[in-house]
Amino acid sequence: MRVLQKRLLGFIAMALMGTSPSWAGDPSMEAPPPKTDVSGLPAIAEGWAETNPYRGKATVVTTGRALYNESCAVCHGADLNHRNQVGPNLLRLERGCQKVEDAALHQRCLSDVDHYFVKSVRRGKRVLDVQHMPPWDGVLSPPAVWAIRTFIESRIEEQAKARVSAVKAAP
Amino acid sequence: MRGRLLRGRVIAAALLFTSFIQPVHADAQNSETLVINGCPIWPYTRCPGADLRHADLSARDLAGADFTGANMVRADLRSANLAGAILDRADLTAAQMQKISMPASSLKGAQLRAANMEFARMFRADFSYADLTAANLEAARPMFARFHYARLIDANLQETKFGSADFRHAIMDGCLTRYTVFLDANFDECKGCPVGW
Repeated sequence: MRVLQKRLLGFIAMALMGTSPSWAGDPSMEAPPPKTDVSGLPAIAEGWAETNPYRGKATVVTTGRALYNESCAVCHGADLNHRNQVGPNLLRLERGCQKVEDAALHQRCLSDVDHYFVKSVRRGKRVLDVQHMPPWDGVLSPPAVWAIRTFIESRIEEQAKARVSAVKAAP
Repeated sequence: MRGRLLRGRVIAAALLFTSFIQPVHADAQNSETLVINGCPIWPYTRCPGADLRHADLSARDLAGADFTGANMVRADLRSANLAGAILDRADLTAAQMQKISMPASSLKGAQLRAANMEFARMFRADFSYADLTAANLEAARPMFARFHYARLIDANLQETKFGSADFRHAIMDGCLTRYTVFLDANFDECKGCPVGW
């Protein structure tokens, strides 16, 4: 009976090894479901919106920050502090949009960044068969992803304001 | 003597005037934002199938941009940043791409005939099914790049660093390979690839 049990366990382990991806075992490549409570996030239309539906909503930032620090910080740095991190600096996502003065074009620019952000989060990053970021599709819900995006935007805004006040304070 | 001086002044004035004229193809909204044939030029821009022929995109930041199937014949992309950009099936015939930075970009099935990619940074770029006939890759760095089924006919590969590049099923013929580095490259099923590496 014991031998049968061992064989069964061995068979299950073998089957799991056969189906697990090449990056299995690497903590930075896993996409565990977040424990942060997202039930408090405002309801949004089903599916993936073209632009961030939470843009400018300060109430979402706290949840977004918790989600970010739970799911993204391992590669992109806690609270978006990118120093010595393997992942790219997410504070630079909107570098192209900050210079755009025309309102309509600015919206389009942010929409392009939103699209790129959601695509990267959902599909992950896989370049020439090397996995750099796990796919989060089905793990992070649309409200969770948009909350993270809103947190990143709030930090970008904070940085921009700090830069302006530094320029004003300069003699 | 006076006539010459006057003529010189007229030419200088004409040159000054023409320098203020915007290029015909650029309908820029302001000095910072360039929009070419409906395609805004910024990082992560989405311009699949855009008409960017002869466009001046030199030194522009176009990281993560989507130019799938775009027509970029003779486009000027010198020193541009196209890291992670998607250029699948784009037509880059005779494009000026010297010193372009395009690591991890995707150029699957792209037309790169006679494109000039001198000193380009192309680490881990995907050139599968791309046509690089008569392209210039002199001193370019396509390390770990993929050239599955790519055509490298009469290309200038002088001093190109193909370290760990993947040439499976590629076709190579008549290329200049003086001081070219093919260290750890994969030549399985490649037609005309060098031997002895």
